[in-house]
Amino acid sequence: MYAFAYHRPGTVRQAQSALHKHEDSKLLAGGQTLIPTMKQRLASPSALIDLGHVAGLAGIEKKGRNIVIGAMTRHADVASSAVVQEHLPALADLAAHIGDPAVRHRGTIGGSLANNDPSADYPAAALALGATIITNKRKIAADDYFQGMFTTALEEGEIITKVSFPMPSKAAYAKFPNPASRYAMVGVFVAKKGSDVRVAVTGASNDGVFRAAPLEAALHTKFNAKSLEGVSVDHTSFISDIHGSADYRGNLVTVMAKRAVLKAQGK
Amino acid sequence: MAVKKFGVGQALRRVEDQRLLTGGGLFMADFNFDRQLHGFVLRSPHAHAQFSFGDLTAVRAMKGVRLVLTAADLAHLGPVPCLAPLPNDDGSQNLVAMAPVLAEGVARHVGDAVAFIVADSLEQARDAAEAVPVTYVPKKPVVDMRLALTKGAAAVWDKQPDNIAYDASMGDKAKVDAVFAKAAHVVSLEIENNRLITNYMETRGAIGDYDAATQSYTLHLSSQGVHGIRDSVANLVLKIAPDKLRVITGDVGGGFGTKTFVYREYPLVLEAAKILKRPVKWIAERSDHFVGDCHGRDNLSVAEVAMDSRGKFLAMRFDILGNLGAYLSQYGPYIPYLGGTMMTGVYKTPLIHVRVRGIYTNTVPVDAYRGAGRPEAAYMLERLVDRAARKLKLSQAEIRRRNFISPAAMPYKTPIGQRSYDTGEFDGHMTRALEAAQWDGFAQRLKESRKQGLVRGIGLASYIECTAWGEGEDVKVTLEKDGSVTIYSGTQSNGQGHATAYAQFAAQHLDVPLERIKVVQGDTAKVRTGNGTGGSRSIPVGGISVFRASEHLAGKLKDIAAGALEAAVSDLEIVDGHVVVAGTDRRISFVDIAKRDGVTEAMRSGQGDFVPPDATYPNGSHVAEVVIDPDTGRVTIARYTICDDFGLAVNPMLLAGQVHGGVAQGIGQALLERTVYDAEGQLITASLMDYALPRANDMPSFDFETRNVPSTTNPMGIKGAGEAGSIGSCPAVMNAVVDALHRAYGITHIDMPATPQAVWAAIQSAKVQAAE
Ligand SMILES: Cc1cc2nc3c(=O)[nH]c(=O)nc-3n(C[C@H](O)[C@H](O)[C@H](O)COP(=O)(O)OP(=O)(O)OC[C@H]3O[C@@H](n4cnc5c(N)ncnc54)[C@H](O)[C@@H]3O)c2cc1C
Repeated sequence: MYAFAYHRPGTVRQAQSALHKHEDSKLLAGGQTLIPTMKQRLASPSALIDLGHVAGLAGIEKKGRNIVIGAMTRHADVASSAVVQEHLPALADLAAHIGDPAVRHRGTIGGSLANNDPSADYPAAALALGATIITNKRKIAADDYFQGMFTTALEEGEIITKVSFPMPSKAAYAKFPNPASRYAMVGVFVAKKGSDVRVAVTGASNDGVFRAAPLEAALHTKFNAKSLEGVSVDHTSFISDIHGSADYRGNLVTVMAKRAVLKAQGK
Repeated sequence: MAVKKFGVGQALRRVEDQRLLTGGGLFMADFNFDRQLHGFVLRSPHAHAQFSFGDLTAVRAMKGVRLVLTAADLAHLGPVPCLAPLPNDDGSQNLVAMAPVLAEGVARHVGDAVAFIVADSLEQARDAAEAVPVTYVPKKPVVDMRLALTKGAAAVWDKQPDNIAYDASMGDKAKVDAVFAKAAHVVSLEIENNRLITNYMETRGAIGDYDAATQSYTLHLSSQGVHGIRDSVANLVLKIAPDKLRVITGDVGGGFGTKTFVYREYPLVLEAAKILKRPVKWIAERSDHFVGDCHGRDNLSVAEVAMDSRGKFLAMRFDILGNLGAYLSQYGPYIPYLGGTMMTGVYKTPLIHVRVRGIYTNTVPVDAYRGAGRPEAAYMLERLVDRAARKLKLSQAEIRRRNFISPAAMPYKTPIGQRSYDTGEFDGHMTRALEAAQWDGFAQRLKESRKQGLVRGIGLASYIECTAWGEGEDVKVTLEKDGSVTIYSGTQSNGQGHATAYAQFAAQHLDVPLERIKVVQGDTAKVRTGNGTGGSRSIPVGGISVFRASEHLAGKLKDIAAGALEAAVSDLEIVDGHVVVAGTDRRISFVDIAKRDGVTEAMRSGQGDFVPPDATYPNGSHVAEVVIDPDTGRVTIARYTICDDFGLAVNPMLLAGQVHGGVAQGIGQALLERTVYDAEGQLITASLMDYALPRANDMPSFDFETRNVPSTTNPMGIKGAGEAGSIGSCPAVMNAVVDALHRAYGITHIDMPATPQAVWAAIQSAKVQAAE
């Protein structure tokens, strides 16, 4: 790790001005991605702006037909939240299967969405549920937010403060973990809201999380695992690595989608 | 043996756990000394490259930097020794390429050490490492063993252009070939034993210190035994008298064989400490571990069996390629050869031929890893036997039963490897394992799995291995003045629980609670001699020495007590820390004995030095049952049954722990752990993000039992148990995987690790073939 300065703002405004003031500074949330990268000397921010003590950034509440989660809310808190378990159990289940207990007690939803790792779990939920990413500057629809692996609509100095998830009528996440890292080799989040069906896939594509149109169309006709029989997604731009070829990941998308649908139906 | 509350045979809890689980452990990184400096190894990013340094003056002048060492500074040091080079069959000796302490102008694997930097802080050392001007001119690397053997392949060493470190064989080839030529059935199998990266929880580390006044060195390190490392580092690398080097090891967080060896960082911290006259500390990062510690296994083999029409084994042939990496490590060349000596297995095959070739490649050196050759042997043989059974349409049990060496044939001289199995009831163990595994109920379970769209299979492996051969252990047991007992042993616990097990051996004679017995290991200044922990020897050799030393001490205590109690020695017995005149209330406590006038330390110390006349041969059968999800290729172990022969269980709980851990490692190798080098020799699986270690939820619940047949090569009948789990498990699991895939798709072979993607891909190509 290279030397860096450490700042601990108490408000979002202070965090924002600290970011402005220090060139090459970075926000620090749970540190589960940023700190290992710094330890390996792959990142060398001049300063870390720790969001850990910013008031009001953590917490979960139900607001009308939405579940609103603060950016600094830890995965473990989402997993064990009674509100989430009752109204959006698919999200609690997703959070419960991120990494290991240590990671779940440090890592945050804001950090995960800001980082937009192509194998991370939360992006699939945000995209499938049509979440809104709320920052210190604006509200961004999930459909506009994810822009390819490790790339988002966030601008320089923009801070995620909350994420708002509309409550679906049915939803589930099915994850096939990478045997080594336990990130998603393929994760499929299926959400049904009225007649609208959205299917988001993480782990599979070189372009990061994406909506699987053929699967959505099939499920739109009938929300049933059988509808997905023989339906697949184009896997030409899929990740191919030692853990899984593009073919294999392509297969997993349909398999995991079916499982997510069965799970959403309580089967 | 008499049943003693704290004695041999009791399933006692580990005395070390309270301390270790509450943060009281002292591992390598926990040691710190005044004025200590920090070392960092600069490693080659290339698999094969010529390199040279620019001017190092600026680096040496960087803030905090105390020393930059390159090979040019170390000409007076010997290389990291290989203690087991092997000659060719014709007696000639190929190049014995040992690693210089720092690479001399050519880097030969990714991670090869090219410079050592010492600074006030680790970050300063790392900064300096980044600033070191090195120019690399890449050379063509040799990565794949088969390619290494092709004509025109690049050479790891110019002096050994064919990349062959040795070409050795066992058995009568002409006779074996003649049987093959006429046999009713021949079955062959080309099989890989995947390279493994140990990944102990505690990475290696060392601190060197030097005392100019006495010209003596101290080396603190995480190891599996201090004496061997002292002798090698002193005699062969530093070229000093061994009594000028003290080696100390504290708690060790895992060893698995690969912490046995001398590594470059040990002479480096000592040399730096001598130059700087300050302690120098080096701790491996996880990424250092991946490219700086020896790897394990990595064999490519062809196995063949010739049978008569009834499936009787007439002869076997094995051709083994062992990847040795770029340098010959301490025992590296010997490991695949040792595997070769075990190719008889549990079968009465009369004729066997084994050819073993050690191959140089531009990869990390390969050496002993839990089982060291025996897992490779058992895996190849048991996979071959299953394939033979399939060909002859015999059940897995039946083909084994027809070929097992019978108990009546013991002691059994093997046709190769010059081994003599002392005991073994192979059919008995297999029969019991099948029963415990409810093998007969498999058909029903298979039906249920099929209903759920799942693929199910069952596999069996009957293994034998060899442990505890070679040197003895010289143990001292002393009664302290406070009535406690100290055991001095030259083995080294690296997680096994010696403090508990050895105390049980002592308690058998001294009848004191385990808390009153201390085990001292890991300090050449406190323990005179030792041969370390490896080859599952600490219980069958070290334990017996403790037992004998304690018996010796008990006799001496009785002698002293006889005078004090005015009784005949033959009337005395030891009860609860006292010597008692049997049947009376006359007694004297150990404290009073130790404090008696004229009682010297020598009078209250016992010696035990057991030297095994031969190896012990633990054996048994493992049964694995797997369920495969055909849509994802994921293999789940549904049931796992073990019936082992360890001769005698010293502590059944520790024993189960050893077996569970070994099986977990085997399951890791069979299903998860894959080491991938690309064609350029880059290690792709160089972190835990890509190298898949097994975790608790990959494991089934183990059904383990022993069916012990005492060994005849040691007085207590013990057979070593530290490695057996990793030996029986790979073939059992893979035989189950192949059984499942064969029943469902006609697939007859898949290599380890059977990862989800590999299994899925095998199923896809079988489906395509079936459709054609
Ligand atoms: C061993 C391990 C296993 C893991 N397994 C999984 C897994 O299975 N699935 C999975 O999805 N993830 C996994 N993760 C990732 C982890 O769960 C976190 O989600 C991830 O590390 C990012 O969250 P963080 O809070 O740690 O962010 P940090 O590491 O602190 O920050 C990450 C990046 O986001 C930026 N950032 C942080 N917060 C904000 C904000 N509020 N606004 C704007 N920018 C911000 C930071 O500046 C930084 O660039 C794993 C991590 C580890 C170490």
